[in-house]
This record gives sequence, C-alpha cells and structure tokens, in this order.
Amino acid sequence: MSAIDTLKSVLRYAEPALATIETIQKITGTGGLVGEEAFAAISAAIKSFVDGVESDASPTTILADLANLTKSLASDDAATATTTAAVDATEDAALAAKFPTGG
Amino acid sequence: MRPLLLLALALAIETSGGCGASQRTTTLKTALITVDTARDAFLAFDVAAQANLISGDQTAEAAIVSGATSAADGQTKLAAYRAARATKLAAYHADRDKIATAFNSAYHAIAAAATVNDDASITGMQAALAQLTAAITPYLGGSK
Repeated sequence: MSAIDTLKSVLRYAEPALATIETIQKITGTGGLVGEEAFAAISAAIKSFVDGVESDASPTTILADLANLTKSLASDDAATATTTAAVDATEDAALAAKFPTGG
Repeated sequence: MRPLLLLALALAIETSGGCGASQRTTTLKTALITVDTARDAFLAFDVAAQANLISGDQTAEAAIVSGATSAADGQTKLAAYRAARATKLAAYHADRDKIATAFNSAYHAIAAAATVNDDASITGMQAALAQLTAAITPYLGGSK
C-alpha cells in the first residue's frame, strides 16, 4: 500500500479530505518532502483539510477516542492470542496423533 | 504516510501557540484530528506487527512435530518454542505500551485544554504532543 493509500485509509473523512490528499500527493510526488516551499504548501493543504473535517473536540469525545485506542489494542492482543492458541492446539493434536501411545 | 503523519504532528504542535477563543478551538480540533490520525495509523501498525510476529508460527510448530522423535521430545521442543514466542510478544507489547502511554497523555492533555481555558493547558498539550511524536518517530521511520 502506498503512503497516500494508507493516509486515505486511516482518514475516514471522504470527499473534502480526498481532494486535499490529492493536492498533497501532487506536491509530494513520491512522498518525500522537499524544501520550504513544499512544506508550506503541504501545511496549507493540511490546515485546509482540518478546517473541512467535522470534529467535536469536547472532553467526552476526546476521551472516547482514547477509549477506542485502548479497546482496539486489547482486541489486537486477543486476536493474536486466539491465533497462537489455535496453532498450538493443532500442533498438540498432530503430536498426539504421531505418538498415539505417548512414546 | 510516514512523513505526512510526522508533518501533521509537527503542524499540530506548531499551530498550538495561538490565542483567542476561535484560535483555541481550531488548535484543539487540529490536535485531536492529528492524534486520531496518528492513533489509526498506530493501530494499523499494531495489527501488522503482531501478525508479523506470529506469521511463521504454524510452520515452525509443524516442523517441530515433524522432527519429534518422541512425544516427550516434541512436547519439550514445542514448550521451548512457545516460551520464546511469549517472550518476543511480551517485548513487543512492552515497547508498544510506551506509545500507548504517550497517546494516553496526549488525549488527556487535549481534554484538559478543552476543559480549562488557560495558557498552561495549551502548553501542557504541546508538550504531550511532542512526547507522542518522539515516541512514535522510531516506528514511523521504519527503524522498529
């Protein structure tokens, strides 16, 4: 996935955001930043993007966003634990099948 | 994504120095959007990193079972492999939790700035964002 594709995927604000990202893409080319002029242009594009995003910066929303992070990390850990447990169970069974008498 | 994300974080810090009600609102909004964006990128990274850590799991355990000369031999080798895997995952989680802590501080600092209308809370938010940037920079640069 390219840098711009990733940015698109993590930013979930469709139309105005995508237009801004297209602008950033044109400015940055391969994704590298070059010079003061490009930096200023990108800064302006991001500011424009931020202005176009609906976001409620209330304490409740902010702490809900944090809770989302905590919950998602826990979910990631649970998925990893589930995957490894499944592998372990499969291979324990395979070992038991290979040595049915335990020898 | 990586340079843009860093730029966005830098921008949030840069734009956090204003004053006035409107500027303060914009500053808080920018900070929140930036941290949310960084959070989403971090979560995508976490999924990929954990998947990568266990990607060879099935193959490795199957090889142990295949090469086992007895049930006890297989069990011993599987246990050793699983202990090493647990150590590897624990090390990753400890490293990752440092970043999660930085996110925690950043969100609480933004919430404080959204609650208390003073310069100190904005300064505290700037510091928390700077710490978050420092925490995630090694990952965004690909050195982790």
